[in-house]
Amino acid sequence: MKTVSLGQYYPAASPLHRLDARMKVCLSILFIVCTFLAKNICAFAALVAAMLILVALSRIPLRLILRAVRPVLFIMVFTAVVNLFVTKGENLLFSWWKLQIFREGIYNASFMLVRIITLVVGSSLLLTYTTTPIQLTDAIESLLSPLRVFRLPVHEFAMMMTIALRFIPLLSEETAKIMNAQRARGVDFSVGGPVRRVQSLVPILIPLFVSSFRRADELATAMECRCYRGGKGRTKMTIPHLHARDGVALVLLLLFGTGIVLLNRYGYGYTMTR
Amino acid sequence: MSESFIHVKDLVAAYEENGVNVPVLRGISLDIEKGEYVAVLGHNGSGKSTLAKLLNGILAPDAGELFVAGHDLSNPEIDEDEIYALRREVGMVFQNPDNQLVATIVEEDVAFGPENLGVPSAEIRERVDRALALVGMSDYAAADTNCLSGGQKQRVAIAGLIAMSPSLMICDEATAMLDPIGRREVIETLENLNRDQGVTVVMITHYMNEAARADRVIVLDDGKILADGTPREIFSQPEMLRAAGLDVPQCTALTHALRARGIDLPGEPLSEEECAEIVCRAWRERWTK
Repeated sequence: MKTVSLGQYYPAASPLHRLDARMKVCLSILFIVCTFLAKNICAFAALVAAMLILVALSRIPLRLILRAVRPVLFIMVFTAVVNLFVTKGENLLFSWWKLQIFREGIYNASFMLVRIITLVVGSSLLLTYTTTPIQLTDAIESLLSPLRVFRLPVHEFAMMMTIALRFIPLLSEETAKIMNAQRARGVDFSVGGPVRRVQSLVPILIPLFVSSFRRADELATAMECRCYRGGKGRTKMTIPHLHARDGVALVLLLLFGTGIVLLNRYGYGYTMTR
Repeated sequence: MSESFIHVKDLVAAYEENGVNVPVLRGISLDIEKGEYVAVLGHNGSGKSTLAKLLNGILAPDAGELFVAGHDLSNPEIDEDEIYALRREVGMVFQNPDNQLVATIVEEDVAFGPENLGVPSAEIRERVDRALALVGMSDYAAADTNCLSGGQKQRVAIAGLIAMSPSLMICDEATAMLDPIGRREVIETLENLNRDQGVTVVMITHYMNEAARADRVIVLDDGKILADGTPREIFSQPEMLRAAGLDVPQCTALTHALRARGIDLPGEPLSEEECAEIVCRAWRERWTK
């Protein structure tokens, strides 16, 4: 239980790891927009090329990157199948009963596949794989801080995230302990129907809740003793600075976005209808 | 304003349970000077934890005088700002190392206190590095707090307090959940702080060997002070310790048992080494006679 890792952060010394976390949040939003802008085969080819460059830059094993795609596999297949049969076009390739496949359908389905893959891989490379959860929390706090004007509790939200990150491994360890304790008393968590199984979770959840509340209480006291009074008047040990490389990354991605728009316009081949 | 660093007079504290008033401290008086290293001994329910919480403004006293570092905590109209000011000077180490660390990264956690105080960034960095060096955890600055041992977590917690530069450190059974190695790490850290930095330490404990290393030992029983003196004075009274529901240290028990059998042993040993030396010397003297 010593190496409970949250999220998918993979430590490595890559240019992507070195980028400022705030910039990476913006970059991944931009990249996602780019995946949705692409409309024809040239633009999608550019997207795939950009994704491959990111993969190479990140120095993350391919095996791990494929793991990021696995959870969306179902969505990918579903979207592709729907696009394959729903798209109506001019070149009918195959027809059986009410199912028709047009050449446009094949294009649309494969474009959707590429779009989802580049979206998932791109955003996980730019963010979750190369940014620690703490950096991410700080980045979100910093990016959302203008919303304080509207009295949004940005600092409190970030503090909650920090504490959650700190306590999730502890609580999962504790859950395992409680389950073992209940097993030692003869509880079998793997028998019975769904109702029975949910019922057998009660003796785990109750002690877990009780201990969480005790922990929360103790932590709150400890935080007060360390002079915590909310975000007001608080300073930070590390103030992140934007470097030249962050600017370069932004410019490159903006150029890439412009390129996608131009390729949509002047590139050749089938243009996606939606 | 009182002259002592900690001034307690006729302090009474109670809590309510099911509408019944349960007294915890029934009239305690003591003064602690700056730079002292004091151990407070007592069995469960003797009121020692309550005393710790009173000293840090977590609980408010019901009656009596209570001054800590110039702040009058017995004033019922004490405002939040004064308690805040008090807590800048009084650090508190709690029993469970897991429930007092806030951040996932060691140095981030140490920085939490100074960040709350609004210290400028560059100075926080300095304070964090210095605090981690003082507790011997500099090599772990970037480590994950969940991967540390109990003793290391407590040292990080202590570093987090040092970074706020307190003049008093209260430890509420800070070693109770640790293994012997972790216990020694924490005790040595506290002793160094007391000796080198002049930090006053009040240590609440029920471990005799920890109390034996303090400058002064206060024994609490049933909300009252049963004894107050140097470790030697306290441990020469095994009957009193038993009456307070405490274990008698093994060396004390042994020397007193030998004396009861008519063997003349000089002094009051506090450590096993001292005890072994005294017994050996007595044995040799007997042999040469």
